[in-house]
Amino acid sequence: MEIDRLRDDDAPLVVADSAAADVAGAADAAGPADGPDAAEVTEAGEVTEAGEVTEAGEVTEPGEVTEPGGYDERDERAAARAEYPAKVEAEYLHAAREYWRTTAHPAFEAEWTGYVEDHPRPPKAPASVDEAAADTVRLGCREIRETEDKIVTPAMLRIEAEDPDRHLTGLEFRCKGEGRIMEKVAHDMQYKGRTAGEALANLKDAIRYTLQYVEEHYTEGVYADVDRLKAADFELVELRNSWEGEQYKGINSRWRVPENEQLFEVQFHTEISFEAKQLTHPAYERLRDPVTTKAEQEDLTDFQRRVNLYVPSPEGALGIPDYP
Amino acid sequence: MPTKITYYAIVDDFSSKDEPAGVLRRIEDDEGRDDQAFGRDLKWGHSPLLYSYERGNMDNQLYEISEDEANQIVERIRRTVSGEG
Repeated sequence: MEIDRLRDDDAPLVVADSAAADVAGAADAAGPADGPDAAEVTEAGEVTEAGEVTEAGEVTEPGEVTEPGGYDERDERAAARAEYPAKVEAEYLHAAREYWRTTAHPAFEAEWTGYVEDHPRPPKAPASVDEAAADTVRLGCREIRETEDKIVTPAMLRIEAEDPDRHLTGLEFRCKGEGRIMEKVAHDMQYKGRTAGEALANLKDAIRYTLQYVEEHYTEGVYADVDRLKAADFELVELRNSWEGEQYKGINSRWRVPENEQLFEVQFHTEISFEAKQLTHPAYERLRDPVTTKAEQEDLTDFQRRVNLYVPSPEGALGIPDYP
Repeated sequence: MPTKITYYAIVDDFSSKDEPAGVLRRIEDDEGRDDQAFGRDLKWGHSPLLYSYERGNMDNQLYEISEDEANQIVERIRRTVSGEG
């Protein structure tokens, strides 16, 4: 049985309708869409000519609105226009969060549960490498864990403490499991001709962290935390912005520990993008599995794509540049 | 749908675009899609690299290349494995 499909346009329609209503409401509050300098006739007064003297005895500028109430009303309109984009963004985020929490997330969870019941799968066989390579990986994993424990995690906790507006999430997953590392090493030996040591050195997410922000503080928060990581003497190796991605939303970055060149990963997420990532992770695991059929791969990528349709992009996130 | 094959050069920290570490292809047809890499056993086998790449994994950079360029990488791997390279 195929994945029971939520209609692609369910949430966008609801969110779009809500946003449209909010836009209309905000527009009513802000008045006509033309600029603040446009000549308007208001209920409170009339458009004047330059040098005209009002009843209050004041000389006016061209297009200025006469008293009573004209100045106040125009100031209010200008203020409303200035607040308008932020109001729309806030209402949109509110609607998107609510829809994700109450409808989309539970529906996708149920859909995945049904899919797994309909597509049972035996446990995956462990990756097979020769004994010497396995020893290299085991030793490497011990060294990686030591670096994580003594250097990187303490630094990340210090960085987290510098800003109460976001936090480290999924800290329990900060060390990639030895089985998965073995799998990656086996792949690199087979498909890239690497030694086990080289494959291990190329592994950039054996240690990984996720910083989670509210959408409103995401963009400024990412820039600030990149600066904090640099200030902690970690070297930025790479940063990739995937907010425009279809299968995954967020930003992943790679860093180097100066003491021993160990690489680690920091991901920058919102609550929804992190939950979407967690929700689709089992689908991603199946996509990696060689026994997954072509048709199933289609279903799984479609599932990932549809989940990510419901992840709102924080304002400014698309503009955060890749590095290098 | 006619079969569509897209090729990618795999570049990691020990290789370059001029001399990639390996080659990957995505095959798409009516049945769905499959990603394969050319192995040191001189066979094409399932590879998760493209899916990982699409989820932000940066262990490797993938560069789309032509079929001719892909064939050159395959030949280089053949020569390396057979000891001619």
